[in-house]
Amino acid sequence: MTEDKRLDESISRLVHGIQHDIPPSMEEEIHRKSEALEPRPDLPSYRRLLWTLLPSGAALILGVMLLRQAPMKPRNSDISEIRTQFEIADKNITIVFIQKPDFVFYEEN
Amino acid sequence: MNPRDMAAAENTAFWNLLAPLKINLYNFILKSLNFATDADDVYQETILHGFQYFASFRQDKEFRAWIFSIAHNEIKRHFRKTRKRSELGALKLPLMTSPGDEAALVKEIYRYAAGLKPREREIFFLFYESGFAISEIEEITNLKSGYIKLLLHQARTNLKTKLGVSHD
Repeated sequence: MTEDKRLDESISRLVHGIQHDIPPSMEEEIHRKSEALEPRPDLPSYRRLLWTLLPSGAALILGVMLLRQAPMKPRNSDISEIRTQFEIADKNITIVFIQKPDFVFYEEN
Repeated sequence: MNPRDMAAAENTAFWNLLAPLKINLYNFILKSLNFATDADDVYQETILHGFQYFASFRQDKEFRAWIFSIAHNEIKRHFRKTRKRSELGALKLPLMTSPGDEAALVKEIYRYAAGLKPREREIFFLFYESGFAISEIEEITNLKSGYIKLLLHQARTNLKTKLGVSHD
């Protein structure tokens, strides 16, 4: 027998040096309370239900998010015009082309 | 067998399985809570929860480990609720049943246990009071076996010197 095992036995014996009895009044109270209790569904089936509801809940949230997005108008582009600039440095000339939505360079007839 | 008879049979099975474990379960809870008066409430809650959820008990499992795992959860819940209250009052050691010369050693053991953290004290009493193996304590508490072994090793090291237990 190892030293640890012998020590464990000694500790266990000493721990059992104090033992309490269950108060009879408490036993009666427990039995009385248990009679009023309804057995609940077992824990595994409760968990199964939770796992079934979880994806449905996630799908619902996703659906709501998509529906909230749908009526939104597409945002206007931040680009309202296109500028193209050329500088001819030695002649101190700057040529600027500004392209706007109503800009027409030329029209074909 | 009609549903009412089945329910009655299930209730009887629960009380029959519990009967030989009651005293041990009660003492485990009492000692894990440092003999606090709340221990009676925790014991009651454990039994009533066990009774209510007995349908979830799988017959291939050991009932003893199952009911102790409920007790473990109730103890945890108790300490969560009473965290703000002082847990360690003056340790009162009631009902000394050991012979005179051992009484001092028993007191030493309980003084050591009272100084442990709630979870450590639970492991200490699951092992030394209720006689569970490390693998069973692992199952009851969901703690790693390495941690349980470490705590028991610390307990042995501390108590060895305190008790001066000889192994001749």
